[in-house]
Amino acid sequence: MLSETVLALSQWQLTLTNLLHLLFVPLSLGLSLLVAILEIRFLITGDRHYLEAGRFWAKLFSIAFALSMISRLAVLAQFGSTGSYFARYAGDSFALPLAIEAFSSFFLASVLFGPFWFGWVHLKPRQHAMLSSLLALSLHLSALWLICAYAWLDHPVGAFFNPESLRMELSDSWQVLNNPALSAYTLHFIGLAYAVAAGFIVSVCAWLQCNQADHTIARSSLGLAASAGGVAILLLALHGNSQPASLAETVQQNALRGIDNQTQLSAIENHIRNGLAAYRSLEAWREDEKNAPLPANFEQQKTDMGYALLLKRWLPKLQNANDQQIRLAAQSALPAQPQLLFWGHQLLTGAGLISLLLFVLAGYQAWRRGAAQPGLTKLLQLALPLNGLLALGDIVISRLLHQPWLVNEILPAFLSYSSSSAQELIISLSLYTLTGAALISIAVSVIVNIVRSTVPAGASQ
Amino acid sequence: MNLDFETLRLLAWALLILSLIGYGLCEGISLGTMALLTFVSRHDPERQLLIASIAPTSFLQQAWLIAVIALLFAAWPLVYAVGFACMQPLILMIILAWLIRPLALIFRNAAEQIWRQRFDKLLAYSSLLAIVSLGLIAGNVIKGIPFHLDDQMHIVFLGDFWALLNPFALLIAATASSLLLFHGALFLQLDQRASFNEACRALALKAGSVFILLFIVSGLWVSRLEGYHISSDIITHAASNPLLKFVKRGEELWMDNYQHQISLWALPVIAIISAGLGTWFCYRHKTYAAFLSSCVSIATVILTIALTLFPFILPSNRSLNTSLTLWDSSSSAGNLALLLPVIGLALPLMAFISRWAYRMPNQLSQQNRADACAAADNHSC
Repeated sequence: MLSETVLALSQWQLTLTNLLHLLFVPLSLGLSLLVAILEIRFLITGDRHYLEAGRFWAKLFSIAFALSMISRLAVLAQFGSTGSYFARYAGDSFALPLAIEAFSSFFLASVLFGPFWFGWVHLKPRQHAMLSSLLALSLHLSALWLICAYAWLDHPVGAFFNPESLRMELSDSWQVLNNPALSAYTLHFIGLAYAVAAGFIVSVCAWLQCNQADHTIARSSLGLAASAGGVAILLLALHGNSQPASLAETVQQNALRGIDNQTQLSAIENHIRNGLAAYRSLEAWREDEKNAPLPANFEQQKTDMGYALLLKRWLPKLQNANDQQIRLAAQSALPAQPQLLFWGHQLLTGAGLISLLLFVLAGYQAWRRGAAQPGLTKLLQLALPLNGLLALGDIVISRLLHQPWLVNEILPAFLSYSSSSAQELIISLSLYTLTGAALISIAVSVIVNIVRSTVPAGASQ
Repeated sequence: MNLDFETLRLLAWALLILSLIGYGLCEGISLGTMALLTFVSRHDPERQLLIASIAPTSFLQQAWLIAVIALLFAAWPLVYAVGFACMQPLILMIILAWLIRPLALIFRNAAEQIWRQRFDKLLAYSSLLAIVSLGLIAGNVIKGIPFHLDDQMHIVFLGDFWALLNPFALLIAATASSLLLFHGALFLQLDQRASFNEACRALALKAGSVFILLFIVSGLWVSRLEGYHISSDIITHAASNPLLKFVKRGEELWMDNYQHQISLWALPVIAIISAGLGTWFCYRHKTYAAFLSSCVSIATVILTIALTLFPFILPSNRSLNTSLTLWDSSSSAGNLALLLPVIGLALPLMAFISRWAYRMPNQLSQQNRADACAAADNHSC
């Protein structure tokens, strides 16, 4: 069994690379849409300010896009390097949407980016607007495939445990692509992504208006961003919780609502015992060189095999699990810090409300058409940090919420990692952290430079 | 269209090889040109042009790499898991080269002269390191990696980093490096008016000759190398379980496929001939023909490796029986049945689009490059 250090380091590495990726995807999504809309507006109205605003946001978009691509590469490599057991066990279903996406919309987006970036001057406005719209569309399609993959982790439909290959295999690929949890997940992710992107845009516009009250870029973009942000927060609030389809989901929803989960313990223990029976049948069958068929109730019992795997944290061989260990394992199936989760969730809801308020204020600012009020603009600059923290908090809370599972009820997280040495992990973690930090700081400084350059030097309020 | 599992697996393998070829061609251009940065030109404006010639398509190249990794993950999850878990340092070097690139590229434009040279060196060496890592991966795949799959299919890596740096893998790395540098140098010469053409040409001639020599030496070594052979019955349509077979290892077993199918010899021969043709065309200043020849060379080299190893994909040199072969490391039939049509449709489109995209920079950024030229003329070097 892997040591606690290796487990912790592996978890950190996976979380860090995922976080980096999930930070920049929303920005590239939202900014691509903004650029497309601004260009179309220019085509319709002929107002050159829209075109300039579009070019400005396109520069910021390209940075976000580059970083989201690079972090995508790191995330894909991480699944194999650090999470290799998970990759083998669940890759059949999890990676299917990822591969389809990589070969379709993601590749299209990368191809379109070249002409998009280098063709501002040489392409006709109509052609370029078409490029931007296609780019935005392919990025959104990409995001949908990503959502499909991550939704499967929570709601592993369409897959079954194959005793011959000892892993989850697809039984029905369409179920994976039409996951019933997909709509709730999509609303949540799109809402979060647009909230972050809109927060970014509102903050930048507010800063521009702070330094130049009638800044044209701010004027053209603020209204759009404010309405998008408002809608996004409403999506987040309204998507609600679907009926929990499994025990794990019930447990997770209860934790968020502050309902005590101890009552679920006996149900969990039953699942564990069921899974243990399946595991024992499986091992007996394998030792028997598969001459006799598997017992009839194996098919029904194997759905609980994931629960039996929880015991592996203490017992490498599950054969002789006693009652006390089963109780321990059942306890571990509950989220570890329910208080933190409940209060964290409340905090996030509050933050969402404040963010909604900020977006309404931003919309008011945009609608007023007069000179920007200094007090309001200073307040609006908070939009980015607020929404960024909202997204971060949401990711952290959901990670903690899904403890101990990586794939709900199928694979616990501690079982998913590769057996690397702590030394290797420290080296790769430091390298990733260093380069990631360097990349982010460069991105931030380039963004700051670009934003500053649109304000005439010396203009300040 | 209901294909049986065996056909699906063969198709998935073929698509993997084709994606690797596409990736090799694109990455060869990108890494090759980056690695040549410091060696080919000493003057800053030349380097600007060099970077400008591949900048528009750098995202494209990254997309190929992501596509290949995603395909491995989805269609060959065992190979993906074992390969990435065991060869972590090599994969890390490739990823780092991609992470460092935007760093160096963005900083170099903003920095002063002395820092620019340092960033150029950083770019060049990280790209060179990535090329060497690719070669090391290929070499270790042929030789076998020391991994073991236990009865619960946990992956245990029985070696350490230095085990991956064995002499055979280093030879293959040298071969791959010379090939990709050859490819990159030929690509750079396609832009006729650049002033570094002479330097590129000299380098291409050297790299091409070195590659041919090293390829022949590698071939001789592989023919003596201990190859692998499945000694139990091969079941092609069962669920993917590598633990169920017996594998034997013996000298010269990699030549088995060539003995059964004499026509396979055509592949390494074509690789050598096209590399030779490429060098000849380069010598005669026929740059486009030379570049095409190097493309053919890369494709046939990858095909050679794949077909020499067939049906193995990732042999294990410590725990022979858990080697990963074509028949026991793929994903399920359901997965492949959905994935393969999508990829089968996408790959030709991707190839076509990549070909078109490499033409675009010559048209679109002519203006940009002219501007860069004019600006460069105003700066002193």
